[in-house]
Amino acid sequence: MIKRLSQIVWSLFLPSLVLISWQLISNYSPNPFFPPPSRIVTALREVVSVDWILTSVKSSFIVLFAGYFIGAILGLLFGSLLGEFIKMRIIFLPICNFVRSIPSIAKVPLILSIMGLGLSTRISTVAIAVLFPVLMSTVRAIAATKSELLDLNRTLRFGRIRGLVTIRIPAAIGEILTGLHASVQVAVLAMIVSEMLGSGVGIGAFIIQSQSTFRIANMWVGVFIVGLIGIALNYMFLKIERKSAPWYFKSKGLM
Amino acid sequence: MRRSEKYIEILKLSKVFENNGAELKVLENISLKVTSGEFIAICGRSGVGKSTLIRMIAGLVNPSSGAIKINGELVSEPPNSMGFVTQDYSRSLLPWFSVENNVALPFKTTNISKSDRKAKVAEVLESVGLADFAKFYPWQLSGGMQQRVAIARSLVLDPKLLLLDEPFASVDAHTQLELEDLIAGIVFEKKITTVIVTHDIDEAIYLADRVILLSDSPASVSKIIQVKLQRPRSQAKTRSDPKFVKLRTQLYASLRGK
Repeated sequence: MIKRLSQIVWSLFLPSLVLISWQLISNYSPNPFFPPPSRIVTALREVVSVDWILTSVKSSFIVLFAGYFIGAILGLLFGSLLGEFIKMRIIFLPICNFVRSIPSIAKVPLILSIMGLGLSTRISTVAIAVLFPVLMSTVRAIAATKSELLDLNRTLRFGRIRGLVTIRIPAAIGEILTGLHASVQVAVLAMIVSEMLGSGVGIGAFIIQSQSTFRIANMWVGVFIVGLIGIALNYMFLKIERKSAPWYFKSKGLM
Repeated sequence: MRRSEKYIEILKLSKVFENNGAELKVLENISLKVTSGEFIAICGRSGVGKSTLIRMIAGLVNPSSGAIKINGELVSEPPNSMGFVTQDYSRSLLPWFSVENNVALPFKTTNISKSDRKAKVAEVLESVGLADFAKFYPWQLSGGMQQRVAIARSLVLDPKLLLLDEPFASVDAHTQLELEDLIAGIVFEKKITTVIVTHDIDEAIYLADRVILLSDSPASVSKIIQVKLQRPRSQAKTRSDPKFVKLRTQLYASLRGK
């Protein structure tokens, strides 16, 4: 209990130091882009209202979660198939590699001009950004099934689909989860970018509007909220990972 | 009954592996018959292709020439009614399934009722001494216990043929002796035809009715020794039996010889 408490104290040490120094320095600094944290807190009180949450934050969450789930599910599905069927992999992987190599920021204008402005465009942006990294990590994880497990699948006479579902996908779950985890950051990035480029709604739009109207403290509020969302999702994922594949994360020394 | 005379028939079996154009002959012209209910051990120096041979019997590797028949049928894929236990239990058990679900895995292709399935799993776990560990996960158990789970899984469908590929090479010496007795007890009670691959000559003699010694590569059958030791055997008595000692000396001489 005391150990846990001291851990919390130590992990808060550096952030507090940064905030305090920031406050002290910005009191004497004329730089308008770094308002003192106290002013950001005041801005936070002004900005955050039920109304604001129900518009900006809600919109961002819908984009983030809907996009992430669609992208992740499609990525898992196609990734599993491409991992199992080598011929499909040979046919589809070059295209996947090409599309994946284009940064999601570069894809946004393209998606915008095809689909126009709107919620579905933002969701698609996130889905496409998540789809490819999830797909690639799933393919890699499935294709790397240990030969002992492939032998087991054959001696049990499971066949391909049953083997994929019962043995190969669960065996790959640790690496698949790592891929899904890494894609959370990608999703947040795609969400912010799609909102910044012309949507007018969401936290990304709020940040860019605050910046262009010179409400720097508000801009900082948006930035901090994005950071908090990132931390919360990351923490959630760590919990999910350790619950769903304890043997994997134990063997990697991560538990 | 005639058919059971030769449950496994290996006919002029050869295997050549190709690697970047280079050919490696592993097995050459191996012929062997195993009668129903017999326990045979395949011995030889490490790397001579013992595992390749048992994997071919299991239908996991195709012969380059020759054939394997089990119960009169040509083997081209893993046959029904076969249990297969490999050396590396930590890689062949599924860590996301509990012990009982690992053991129940072979039932997935059958349509036996849930209660029968449960009863059978409990019975097999009992027979390998893991009745109290059904709800545990493999990674929570010791190596020897994990190998017991693998053995239970190989037995759950009541196989007529049990193939053991260096099954005790990854457990400590004491556990090895325990598991040897466990296997011997089960396969003789159920009259399961059993083939074990091992580099351990003492183990081969202790368990088998016949020991097949493979020559160095390309491996062929260099010696077949009948083991006429009384059953049930016991680790303390059998291993000090003069007949055991004699067979052991004989086999070691053949292994070193040439």
